Amino acid sequence: MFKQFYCAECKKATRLKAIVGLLVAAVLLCVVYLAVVGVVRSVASDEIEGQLPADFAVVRFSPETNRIGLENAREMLEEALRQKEEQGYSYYIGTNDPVYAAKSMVALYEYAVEHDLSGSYTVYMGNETLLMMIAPLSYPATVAGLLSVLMLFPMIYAVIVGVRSFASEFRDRTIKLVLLRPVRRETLALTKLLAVLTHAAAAFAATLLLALIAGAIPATTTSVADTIYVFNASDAFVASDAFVLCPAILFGLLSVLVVAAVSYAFGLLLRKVSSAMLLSLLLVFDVTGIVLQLTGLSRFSFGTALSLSYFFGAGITVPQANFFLSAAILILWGVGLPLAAILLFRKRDVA
Amino acid sequence: MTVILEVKGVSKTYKLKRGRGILKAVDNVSFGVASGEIVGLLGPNGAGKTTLIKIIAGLASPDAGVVTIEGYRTDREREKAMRHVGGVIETPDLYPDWSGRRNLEYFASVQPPETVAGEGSAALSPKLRIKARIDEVLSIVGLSARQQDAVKKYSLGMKQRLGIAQALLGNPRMLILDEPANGLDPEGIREVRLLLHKLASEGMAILVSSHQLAEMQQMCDRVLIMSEGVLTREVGIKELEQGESRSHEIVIGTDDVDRCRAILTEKFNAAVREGEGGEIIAVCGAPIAEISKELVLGGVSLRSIGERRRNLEDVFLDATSRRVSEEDIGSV
Repeated sequence: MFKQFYCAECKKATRLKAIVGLLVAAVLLCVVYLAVVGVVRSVASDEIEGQLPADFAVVRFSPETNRIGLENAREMLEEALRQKEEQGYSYYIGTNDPVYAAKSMVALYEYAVEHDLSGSYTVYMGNETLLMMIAPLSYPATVAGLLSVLMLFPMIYAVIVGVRSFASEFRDRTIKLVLLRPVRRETLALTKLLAVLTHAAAAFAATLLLALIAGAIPATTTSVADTIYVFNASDAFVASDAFVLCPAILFGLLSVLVVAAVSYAFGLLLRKVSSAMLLSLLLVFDVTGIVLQLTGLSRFSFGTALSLSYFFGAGITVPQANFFLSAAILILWGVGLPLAAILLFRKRDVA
Repeated sequence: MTVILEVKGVSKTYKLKRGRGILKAVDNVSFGVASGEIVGLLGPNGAGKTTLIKIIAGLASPDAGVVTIEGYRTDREREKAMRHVGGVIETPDLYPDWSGRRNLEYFASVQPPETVAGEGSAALSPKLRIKARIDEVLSIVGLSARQQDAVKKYSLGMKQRLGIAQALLGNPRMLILDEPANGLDPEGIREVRLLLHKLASEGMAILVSSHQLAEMQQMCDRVLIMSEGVLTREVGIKELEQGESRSHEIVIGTDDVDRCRAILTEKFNAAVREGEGGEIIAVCGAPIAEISKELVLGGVSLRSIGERRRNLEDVFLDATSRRVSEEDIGSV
């Protein structure tokens, strides 16, 4: 029974209109992305030309510190090093501007040389999506860059499929006929969840395929720095070799699956497409995290981040955060919430 | 006849919003439905019919009481119980963009293949068995010719029949239908009625809820009347039509209303009410000749006097305007 229901549910969960719409948008974004990369890299390259050694640093940006100006970069590095020494974690420097990123790196490099620190430290900087633009554009790097941009689409698809799995059954009232079948409610719910996860994984695979194809189109070969690794906090790795692309794919897949599971749980709990969709999208785009930061509760924002890598270097808000804490939070969202929703569903009346 | 469904002491209470107290949607309801029997659940809107149907179908859980289907308690052995039940609760909400057949294929996939079985299909593989059963139920409800059409193109009657077809997929012993005639034209109502009679004649137990009195009278063998969550009356349709069970009425036109009422109550122990046209309506077992004689002897000037059979509407109005005692409901 399980197999035939699973197959039927997978077929039923297919949202053709959403697939076509998102695919067209994704292809357009690929084109725009590749064009923008060429322009931005050229500008950033001019800024950094001849000023950095090839093995300068691993750099990471964070939106947390966008407010900090370039003039404070040295100060921040000093603070980062001090904190790392004392507390075992580093400070952040963040930006959304790749040209600024290039300038920051030059400033940091100068400071490192001045203090004879070259090669002995790691400076973490933020913005995952745009920093890749100053990273060397090998094929895997381009693919990873594209992937991090295109991740938006499997995420949205995961939300649509996840929310609609139950919420649309409640909205259309078809749930009554489904629940009249001689089958346990939890079997029904788990099979539907599996179908949702299958769709989310397939959407991610399609996105990866698109990135692999689009990445083969030569955009620019300008190399800014050879070993600038951008460890992407929510989307993907950008690196100069294929090896670091693998974790990016794994983390990306995991994020999509968690988003699908969470959206599914919201649909099952709220039983309303609109509110479940809204809540899911707020989480996907980390609006909840932003709101928490704006309201002075930034220390709790880690709790709403649906990404494993969020905590790599998230010490500014959660000093104790680490991979295991972020994994625990992911499990809570991606496994705990759906299971709680299913347990409630077992006993709840159907209006 | 084998009793398929047994409802014992079922109650369900809802908390009203904004602290407006509680609503007893179903209050200590008990009855049974046997194979080959069509039982109607009748009541005004808000009487608790749909809540009771949902409890029986396992869509809602009762606060108290037990529902058993073919001996299986729906709260403890729901899957086993539901193997014997098919149903349409309220409107037959199907997937409108899919064809009738695809709807049935989907619903068939949500239950173990061995439960989707028609006669003589035991030797077939699960896939073929499901296909054969879908063909069979489509033929039973008369939708074979339209099975590939999208459900959104179906008339209400066709949707209702497709709803019944999905309910029959598991070859159930019992069918539960909530308001099956809602929104149907006379032809559609007739189609559903004939289909239910056919299924009942083959031994299926059928529970139908509705507030359409005339239709229930034609469709059912027995009617249970609910009001404010309570089962207030049980009426056998045959007995009703044969004029038994306090079912005849004397309609009297007179100006001596008070004297007439007094005689009817005192001498015949009749239940008396005033009709819409000012006439006196008395329900009692005495023959009309004797009543008219007593009224004339009592000095009542009669303009007219006549007799009419009581129909389900009269019984319904009686039952929903006042609560009868538990004894009136009788054992089932």
